Amino acid sequence: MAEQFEQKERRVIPNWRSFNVTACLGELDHSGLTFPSKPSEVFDISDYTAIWRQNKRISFAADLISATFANGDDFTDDAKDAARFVIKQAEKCPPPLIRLAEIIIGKNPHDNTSPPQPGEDLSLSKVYKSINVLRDRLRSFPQNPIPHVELSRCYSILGEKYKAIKNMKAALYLSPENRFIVRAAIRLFAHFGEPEYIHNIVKKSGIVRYDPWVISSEISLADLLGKTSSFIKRGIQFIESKKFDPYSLTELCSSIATVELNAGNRKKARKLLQSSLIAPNDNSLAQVEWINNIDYLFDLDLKRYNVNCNSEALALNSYFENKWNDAFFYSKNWAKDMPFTKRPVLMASHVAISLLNQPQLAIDILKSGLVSHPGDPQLINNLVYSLVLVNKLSQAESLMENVGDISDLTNTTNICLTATSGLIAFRKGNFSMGKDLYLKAIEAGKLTNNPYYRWIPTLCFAREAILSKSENASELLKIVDKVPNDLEIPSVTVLKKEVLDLLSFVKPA
Amino acid sequence: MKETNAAHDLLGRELKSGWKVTRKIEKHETSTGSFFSVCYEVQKDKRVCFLKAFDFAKFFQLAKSAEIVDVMADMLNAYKYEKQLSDLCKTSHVTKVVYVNEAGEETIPEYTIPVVPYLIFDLADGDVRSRLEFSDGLDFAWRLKSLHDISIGIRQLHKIEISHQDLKPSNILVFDTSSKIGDLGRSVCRLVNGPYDEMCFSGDFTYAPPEIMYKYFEKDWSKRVFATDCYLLGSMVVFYFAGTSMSALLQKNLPDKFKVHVYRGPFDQIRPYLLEAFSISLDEFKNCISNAFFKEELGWVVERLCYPLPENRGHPRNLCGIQNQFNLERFVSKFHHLHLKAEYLLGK
Repeated sequence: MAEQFEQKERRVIPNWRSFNVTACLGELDHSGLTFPSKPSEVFDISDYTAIWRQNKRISFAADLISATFANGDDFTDDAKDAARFVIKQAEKCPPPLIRLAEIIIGKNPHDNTSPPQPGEDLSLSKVYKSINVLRDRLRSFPQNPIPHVELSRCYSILGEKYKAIKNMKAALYLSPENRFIVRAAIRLFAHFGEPEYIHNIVKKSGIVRYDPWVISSEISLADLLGKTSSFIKRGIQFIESKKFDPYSLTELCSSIATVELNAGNRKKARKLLQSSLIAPNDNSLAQVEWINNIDYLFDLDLKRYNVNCNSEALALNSYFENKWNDAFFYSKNWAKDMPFTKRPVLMASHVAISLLNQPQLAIDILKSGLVSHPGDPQLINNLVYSLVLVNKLSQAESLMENVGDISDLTNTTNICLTATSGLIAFRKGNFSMGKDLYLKAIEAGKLTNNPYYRWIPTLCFAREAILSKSENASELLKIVDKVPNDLEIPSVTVLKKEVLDLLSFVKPA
Repeated sequence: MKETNAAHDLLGRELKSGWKVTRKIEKHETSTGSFFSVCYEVQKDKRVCFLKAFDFAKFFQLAKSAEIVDVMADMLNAYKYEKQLSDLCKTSHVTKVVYVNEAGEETIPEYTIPVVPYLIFDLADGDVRSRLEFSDGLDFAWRLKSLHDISIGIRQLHKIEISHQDLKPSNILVFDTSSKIGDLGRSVCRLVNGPYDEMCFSGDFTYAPPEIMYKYFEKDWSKRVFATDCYLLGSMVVFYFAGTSMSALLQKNLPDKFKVHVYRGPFDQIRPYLLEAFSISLDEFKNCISNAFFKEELGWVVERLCYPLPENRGHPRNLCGIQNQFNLERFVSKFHHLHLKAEYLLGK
């Protein structure tokens, strides 16, 4: 049986994307409404233009192109003329000059430094290639903290905790007061189960005193650790000060709202969440969606918000509204966006296996999930279950041996693994062993308060018993009939219907 | 349109100082000229020089009546300042900077404003853009020689507390086999009061270092101005081999949100992003040089001279201790060494 996608506690821990994508999303913009500096004015470069008109040579074109580029994106006809001249004589020009010329005439608007589109597919070979490039760049310029952060992210995607942490610590050492780096570090250490370490650093940093994006993360970290943040008061002052733009405050409102809701202050939480929706980002939107599902506060129409990379919110929304195809689509996008996290993989696989009844759809996403979480029992269980259902028994069996540390398995994962072992035994023809394992899972499921784990092992057993014809059909019907019809758990309903259909085929009424 | 003021009527005349005006040099012919000046070629005792005549009439065309006095005062100050700096260079044996050889004034009585003050400089073959060929392998040694000359020029200026502030291709003048730095007009000097003393940066903004572009101004005068010259020298190295300034490369490699005409935040937050753009730019620069030795050496020189955070700019041995962080002596030696090595490889 597959693991259920559980609605675990959610906090406003920053989402961690590559530097270019994060910059593109506006999360690194200046947050205040007053600005320390004005953007530079555009300067007169008519001298360069005039000289170029009289000296049509590469070096004069190069000088005009340089001046134009450093002077903003407003490219004059003369600059375009110089750029075309350079491109025409490309064999005599150095590559950086040609690239600038191409950008000026719009031939190569997406230079290799342009940010990739959020949610772009990330293959393993791409990750390894990125690691090589980043390591080369660090070798030639080790003072740069950004490749350390990017490397850390790549290693997180590969599940290499030690290297990921080592690189993040280097980045923090080089630039301890930068928003991008501090927020990435918060996500990394929270992801690897070491929030205490980063919390101690963040609460003593200088940036947490003035940056709403970092205060928000500190509050969520403290909440995650079961502590009360000493920055909540400052956060509220920031929100009330009207000195920050709403986008910069969205996560702060959301994180304080979560704390207030946990403390039982629904009214305050609702007000703060509504403030977070003035200009939401993907994280605050997903938080509202999640909170609204566990404790309905107000109507939320996601279509009203034009938020980039909001796959998580859309996936949660589709899941809560039983739109399974959409939930699968968005959870896959969510996994592409955050390839180091497990939750989107669990959601996508649960939806594909238990709700869409298309286990083959779950296989690829589970395999990629196992890259960042090697040996993860939940993911292995779901993958083994999917493989057995598509008749890849030998693959499934060998994979089952890869289950990592089982000493700290949760009870529910244990139930799933036992039931899945029962399934393998049934499919191998070892019915008595299969039955024993299923009964063990059923007994363990009865002890949980969760109807999913209470009834799914029973239904799985019934299905296998019917398919293997190892049990009396009327006995099985009695067992299946015990599964209540009024459960509001779609996966139980779907499986019960499947089993009843099988039964009707075996023993027509 | 026929020019009717005295500054435009010097051609063919013999000046009181003995110089014969032989040719009028049109604006934009090879170099950027001041709006308020008219340029000529002059000869005396078989020596050919360059004359810059100040065109007072331009002020009356341009300035509103209330501002004429101010504008003229500015011009006279600039004239005086350039002459004072030149005197300082002359007495300090500066060899790699083009400065005023002679200053004087000519009176042409038939004009309303009959006085034409002028400055005479060495006449260059042109600026470096007229000489530079990016693809020519033979040019490699020449480029290094030129950079060596420029670094000496900047070093000589720094020794007498002058910061050039406007080092760019149009201000690098070529004389046969050597190069010299031209246009001291935008310089600042600790010893002489000048028109740009109050400005944080007096040069061409499109070549300015990132701290100036992002309005982070070091309060210490010498740190600020010499850090700027260091960057501009490094940017010249980039231009010689990559055909673009370091500032243009940095702007290209920054995400749009952090480009200089968009970003409105503090310099502190943009530091790591500048380092990221710089690291990419440095790789692009290095890839323009095929020889592994020169690639590494010149890459290192550019890294040290153009480092985007001014407090870390300069030679690493000057960064520790009490030495002047922006002392260019070691870079002068480095350019000399590289030039000799390139000549040696060329001769092999």
